[in-house]
Amino acid sequence: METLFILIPLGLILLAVAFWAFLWAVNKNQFDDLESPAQDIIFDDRQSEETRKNKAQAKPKTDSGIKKHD
Amino acid sequence: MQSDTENRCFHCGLQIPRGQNHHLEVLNDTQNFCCPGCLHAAESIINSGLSHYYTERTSPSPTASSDNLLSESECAFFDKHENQNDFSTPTSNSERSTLLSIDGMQCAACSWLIKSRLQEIEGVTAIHVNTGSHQARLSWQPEIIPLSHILNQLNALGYQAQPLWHRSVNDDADKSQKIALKRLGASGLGMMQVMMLSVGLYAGAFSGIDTIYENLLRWVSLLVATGVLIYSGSPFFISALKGLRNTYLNMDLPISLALAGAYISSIWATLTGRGEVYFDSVTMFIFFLTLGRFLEASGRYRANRTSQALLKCLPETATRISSSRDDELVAVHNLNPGDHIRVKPGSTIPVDASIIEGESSVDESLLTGEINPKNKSIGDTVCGGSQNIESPLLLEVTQQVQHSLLSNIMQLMERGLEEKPRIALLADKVARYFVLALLLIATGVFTTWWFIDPDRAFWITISVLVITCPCALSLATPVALTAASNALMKNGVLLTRSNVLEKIIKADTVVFDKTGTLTQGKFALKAIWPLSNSSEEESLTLATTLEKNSEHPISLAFQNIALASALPTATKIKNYPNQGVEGLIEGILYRIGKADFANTLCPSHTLLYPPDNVLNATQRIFLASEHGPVACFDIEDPLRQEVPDILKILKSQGLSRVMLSGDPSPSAKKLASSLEFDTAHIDYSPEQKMQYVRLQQNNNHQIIMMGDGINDAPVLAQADVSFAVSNGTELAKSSADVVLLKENLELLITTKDVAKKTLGIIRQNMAWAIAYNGVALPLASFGFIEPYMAVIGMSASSLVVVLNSLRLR
Repeated sequence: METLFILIPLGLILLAVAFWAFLWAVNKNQFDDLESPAQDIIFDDRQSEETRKNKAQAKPKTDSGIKKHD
Repeated sequence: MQSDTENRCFHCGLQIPRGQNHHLEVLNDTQNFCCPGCLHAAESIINSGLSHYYTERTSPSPTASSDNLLSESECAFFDKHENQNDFSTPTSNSERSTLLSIDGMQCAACSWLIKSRLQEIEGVTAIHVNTGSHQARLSWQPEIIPLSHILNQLNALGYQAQPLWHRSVNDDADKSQKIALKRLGASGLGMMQVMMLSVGLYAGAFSGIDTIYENLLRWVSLLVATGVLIYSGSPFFISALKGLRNTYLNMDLPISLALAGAYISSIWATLTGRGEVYFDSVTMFIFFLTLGRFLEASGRYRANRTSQALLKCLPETATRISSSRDDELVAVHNLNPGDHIRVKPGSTIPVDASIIEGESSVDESLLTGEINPKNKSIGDTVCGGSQNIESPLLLEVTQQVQHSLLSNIMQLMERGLEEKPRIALLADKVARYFVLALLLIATGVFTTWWFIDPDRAFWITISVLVITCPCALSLATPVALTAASNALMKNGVLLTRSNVLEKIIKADTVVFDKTGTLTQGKFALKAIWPLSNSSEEESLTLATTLEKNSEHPISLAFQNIALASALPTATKIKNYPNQGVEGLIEGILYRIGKADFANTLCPSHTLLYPPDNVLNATQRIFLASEHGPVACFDIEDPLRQEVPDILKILKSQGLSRVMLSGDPSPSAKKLASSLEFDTAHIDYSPEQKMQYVRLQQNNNHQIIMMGDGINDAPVLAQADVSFAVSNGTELAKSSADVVLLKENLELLITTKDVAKKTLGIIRQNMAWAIAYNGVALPLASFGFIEPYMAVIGMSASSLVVVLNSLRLR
């Protein structure tokens, strides 16, 4: 049971680290917008998938795969 | 006719006008666009490889009209080095940072689009977009890319981006919100840690534990709880002390007493090794209370943060004509009385001024709530914040921007907030008696036991204080209010001050503003009276064609009318300020506008006036050609459809209904009597509205005020409870206690219902808490309560309160 004398102070250090990390996150505005960053990552992913598909499909077209008729 | 979706712009969802023919292949499908602006926006999105935006967005994008772009002089203004200190700060030698307000942002896809688009630009070092507040923090390198170029990229996508000026306001609110969040985090983390340690202590209490380990756990708990108490608990002590200094016992006092009692007795127990520790209760208690206050503060913060958009009511730059007659773009706060400025049609007038050249009509709806533009000519004064509609004006500045009418209204509002009557809330009232009783009893118990058994006196007094710890009582109100605000939020009601729920129940008078609150605040076509043998459809087509060329708010009434046939083209369009529009359609000259104006085309015919039986018809306009009158249109600001029902419900609940309107027209009076208002006043200035409410308050009436405009802001601040409607101006929203997020006044009734239920729950919670304390107190005073029972009882009574409050969901 003597190990408690090491483990509990270790727990306290972890607590201090967690609290420091939390303060850092608040100061860096990580909690400002809780919605859109979560979706950004998905949008990015789907977009790159789409771009890949388009490139594979539309080889003879212009590089971005757009055709304009005005 | 084409199908509906084909006829709508793929980018912004507006109907595509005839003759506009723009297509682009998007996501392997050919799509149509309404204007070159939207086409370019779509092109720019696809070219930067962000076409996926269109599949992810949840609502149509803002229309990207090509006049969104900054003019050359505006570009020069934003890029000029001396000006940049007004709206940005240098972050390093080559980098600056600024806060942009971005209009038109609707969903997470918009924020993704903006971020992805700007990140590609060389010279943009960082961009953080906040969807909730419609703001973005931008860091860029002025030497690589001018700010105007970045802004124009956003404008080309259809968003309206502008740097914000008065950042200090923002910074204060930001800072206190961050501190509140940190306090919440600290108490949460601390609570978890102490709880974990106390599991060991509880287990030890049942199965035995060496004193040395027990002491270790206690000392560590003491350490963590001390941190939490000082960092997160200090606001309660400060507020209680402030209350005491003003000889006012508030709810923070019993909270502080309970915290201090439990904490000090635990320290005593830790030091002496006798008695029980309550560090877990202390931290948990702090966490729950901090959570409740944090949620309340965030609601207020969110409402205030959007209100910064108000600063945009005033254009931040103005065109000054210097003595050499050269135009020069200057910041509005640099304008002095005597300066001459030019205001283009369609722009906002920056400061109070008088007209020295030109004639136009001016929309003062922002200040008066009156949506009918007023005619102004040389010598007339115009107010900052109003909009010039028809023709250019040369103005002489009469007031600096900080003394302008709009600023005065804001000051009036602040005064109203200060004067707002504070009714004693139930929780505070209970707290007052409770604290007194508690202190008296504790003293009594101590003295009695001092004579019976001086050894036990201290411990019994502590256990009395702990077991009667008003945790449940202190949680009773905030937890219920938090649950209620969440329930309301789901229904589309944002509470900015949660204690208003109690006041809503007590209110006996509901005051409504007219324009924009009872009515929709925009013109719509009410009726067509043909004056010749042309059909309604034909006259409507002609009118729409002509009105398309007008900037006047009335033309909005013709904007969204679906016509079966294509619009003819009109040539030789001429706008007559304050009069109407003239144009040549298929070889015939037409005029639409005021009766006299239209009639001059065909003086030989007299215009026949249709019967005037239309309620609330604010405007009647005539269409005439060279051959005679064609038709007459009634334009009105339509009533919201739910209004009559709401007034009926309010009447059945026994509330008196009052209408205060800034609108001087008699139709307002007619509207009031048809809706059976108890009292109605028209032509009221913001000051008069405020005085009316103050007078009623002096007669012991409690007032709910519902409004939308800037002119309502002072009275909203003065009223006991104020509601701002969703399409209202930001200033109104920021001075209101309750903001309706959906455009539906029925939410007033919903809020009242929830408030009633909440008050019921609060009463149950209090009854329970007082009953619990009432039973526990005598037992503890006679020394029957074991310490562990006290702990369980304390937690259980709080838990009951929390669970009961959750029923509000």
